[in-house]
Amino acid sequence: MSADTNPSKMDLRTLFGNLAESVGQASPEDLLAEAKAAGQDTEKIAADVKTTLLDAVRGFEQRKLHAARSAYRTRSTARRTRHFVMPTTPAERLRMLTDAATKDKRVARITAKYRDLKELSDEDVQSALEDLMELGAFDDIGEQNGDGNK
Amino acid sequence: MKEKAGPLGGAEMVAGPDEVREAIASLTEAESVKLKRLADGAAYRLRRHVPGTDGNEILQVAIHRVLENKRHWKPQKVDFVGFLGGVIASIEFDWRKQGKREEMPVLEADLHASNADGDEIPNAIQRAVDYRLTPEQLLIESEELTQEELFQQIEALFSEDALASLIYSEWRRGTKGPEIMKALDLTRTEYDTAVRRMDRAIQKNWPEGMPHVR
Repeated sequence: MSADTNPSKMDLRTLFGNLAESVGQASPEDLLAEAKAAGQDTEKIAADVKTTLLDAVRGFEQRKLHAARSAYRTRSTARRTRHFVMPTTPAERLRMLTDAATKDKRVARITAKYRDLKELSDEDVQSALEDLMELGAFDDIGEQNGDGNK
Repeated sequence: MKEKAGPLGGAEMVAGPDEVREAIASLTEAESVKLKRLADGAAYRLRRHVPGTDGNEILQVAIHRVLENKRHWKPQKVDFVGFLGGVIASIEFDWRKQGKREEMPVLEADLHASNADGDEIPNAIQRAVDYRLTPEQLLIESEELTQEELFQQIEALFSEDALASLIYSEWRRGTKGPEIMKALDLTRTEYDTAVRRMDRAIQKNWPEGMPHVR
């Protein structure tokens, strides 16, 4: 067995495969001894590997939690939209806000800054209703009425 | 741990995040060093196809593949280090394939193009199917080594390591590891140790990844 000058029968992928196999086959203890002999700080390497792997688990769980929160938000917004239909006329909208402020202490607290709700423009009334809807203030009304606030 | 139906109808336990976390916490120093070496080796070989790849990135992707259930770890069947070693190998395989297949998206705005004189010039699609090399590509290619030249450079790295040199020349002749061990009367450990010396010498000589060949 000796080297010759003929073109190689090996390609780069085979070379890489041969090199990779020698690490895969090795016992962890042999690799540890080699790394120490090469002057590497194996304790630090080991600690860094554990940190990297644990960070990956944490990152995965956070991503999953974020996705679950996002899905929950989407579901609750859809539920509120189902329960609440914005009245079609300004008078009905104002009545809805006034009724809600009378019946619900939470709404009353929010609307308390207005001396007289009747002085609010329809735009303000709509905006207040939308905010309250977003906060879930009409969920109970919707649930009491079955499928909506009408 | 989640239960998963096995091929013969029996249930097999697939590890979840808690078991994976526990396995990581229980890794010995030697096992961690092995995982690092496997990931760094895969990253090194990948750099020719996917520039900038590093071992930590591969370790993270390996854990994500396990937790996303793309790979099922059954602790009763395979140890964590052996299993992650397999996941690292499959990442290397997938990325090498993707690295070669990478394609640039073609924008609608690229479809019709003309120069300042109003003459039509090749659009992105035409350029994409034009296999002629640009002058820059020709220059780069002319400076690249042939595979044969690269192999000769690698061989020179082992000039002072008789065993490595012998193993390498046998590889080039197409001889497989087991035949080499038999012919040279080497144990598996002796053979692997020499091959790892070769691996380290190559990585030391080309730390950014092995050069491209034409």
